[in-house]
Amino acid sequence: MNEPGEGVDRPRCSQPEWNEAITDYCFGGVRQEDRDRFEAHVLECDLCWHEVQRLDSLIKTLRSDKSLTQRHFTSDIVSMAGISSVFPRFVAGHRIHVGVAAVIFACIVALSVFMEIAYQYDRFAAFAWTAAPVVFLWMAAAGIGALATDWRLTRAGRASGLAASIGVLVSAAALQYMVLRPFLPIFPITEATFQTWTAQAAFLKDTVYTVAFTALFTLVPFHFIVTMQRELQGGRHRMAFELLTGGRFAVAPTRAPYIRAWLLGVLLVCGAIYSIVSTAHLLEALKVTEYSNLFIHTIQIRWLLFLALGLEGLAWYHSALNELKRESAVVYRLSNPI
Amino acid sequence: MEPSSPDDRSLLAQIAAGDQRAAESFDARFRPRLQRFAQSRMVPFQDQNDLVQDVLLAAFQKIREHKFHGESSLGTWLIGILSHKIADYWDRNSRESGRIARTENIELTATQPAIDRIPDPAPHPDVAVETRENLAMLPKEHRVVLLLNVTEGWTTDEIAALLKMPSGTVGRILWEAKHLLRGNPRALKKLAPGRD
Repeated sequence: MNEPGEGVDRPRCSQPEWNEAITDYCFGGVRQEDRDRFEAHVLECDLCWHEVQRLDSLIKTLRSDKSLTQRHFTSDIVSMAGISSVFPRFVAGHRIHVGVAAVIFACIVALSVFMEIAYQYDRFAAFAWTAAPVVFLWMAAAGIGALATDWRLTRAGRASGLAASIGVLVSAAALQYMVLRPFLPIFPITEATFQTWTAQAAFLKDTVYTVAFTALFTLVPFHFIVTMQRELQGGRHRMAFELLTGGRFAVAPTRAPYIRAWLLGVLLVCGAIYSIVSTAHLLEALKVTEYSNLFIHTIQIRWLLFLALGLEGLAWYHSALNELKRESAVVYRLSNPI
Repeated sequence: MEPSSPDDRSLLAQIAAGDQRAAESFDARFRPRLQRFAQSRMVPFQDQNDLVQDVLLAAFQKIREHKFHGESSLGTWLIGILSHKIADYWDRNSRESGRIARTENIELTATQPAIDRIPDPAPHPDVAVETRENLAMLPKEHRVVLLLNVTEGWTTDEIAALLKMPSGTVGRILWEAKHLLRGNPRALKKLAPGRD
């Protein structure tokens, strides 16, 4: 296949300076003083005049005949600029988010091991230092696996991505609990003025909370974003535009719940406030021993990690929604000129 | 600028001698070009004919009065006349607009230029084919930048924001795309050195 211009043996002006100026002149990018000199030349040079006429026709055709330009245009724009263009890449191009979220999630679960044995750290330190790294690696892998499963199923056109990703995460958490359970004490470790949970039960409760939190702030938003990326890639920009801008006829894709970013933000703030209050109640009731300081620190770090997981998920979700909006708006604007 | 060619000098001599066919030949050669130049100076479509007619009449008169001595080229001389006529045109136009605005007490607002309201004629099939082929052969990013700029009227800054590229890069791509659309081999060499 020839490149543009190749194989077309057109006579050109013997003065290259003018030959170069033709393009700028026809596209309106020539300075006034150059324009006067160029036009004076074109008045006398038939070759340049014919080239000006030819390029004028090309530009006029380009501007007037939309059917010529629409053929590849939308798909070109989307493939270059849109968030949907990265959909085929691993985890739909959200590797950093997936990695960060999985690491924070795994840190929280691993830290729970320390938290639940903290009051008898002298007895269970060896167990904690052995189990926590394994738990961390396993749960980080589970987090990445859950999101990757969602992406793979969504890419295959299945609507079960969210259910599968939750299934992967719950299964991995259940398995790690089953493995750790025999090594966790079956009696209360944390000492308080009220009856505390056994280490086994407390660890199970921590795991359930963490998985639920991660599902809400990571899995659900991720599934919606990758589903919308797929929809945009399939050319359903109008639907996406309506949905993301609150249009009257907006319909979310099947089994891809659209949680507004502001709603997630409100939930995060409410959760943080509730957590502060309940933690304060716990701290007031704690008995002071040589390891209560360790326990309090693990609680605080864990609280910060939850906040980080929520904020990271929220920031990523907000940014990805904006990218989706931008892409659908650009394509919508190009296909519906004002 | 080089002085006029022998052919031009002969043509001018014939016009000066009152040769009607020479005048027609001069008109046929220069009228379309002058019209194009008037367009590039933003003269509205409906006024271009009259303006170019004035330029040609002035040129004929000066030639017949032997006021063109050939110190400059014919092209430079004609562009000089065109520039004067266009300056007069805009001067007259602005006075006229001001008078109308004053008498009718209306606010002049920026409106779409008349030239843009005139629908473009249907493209010649050959031109359409060439445009389509050249477009299809452009690298994708060149095609996108060119179309956004030329057909959608986006600025380089707007395109840069959309494509997340530096404005300078978009400007370079646009320059290359324009030359490639035209089929200018120099742009191809700059784009891919060694490719002929």
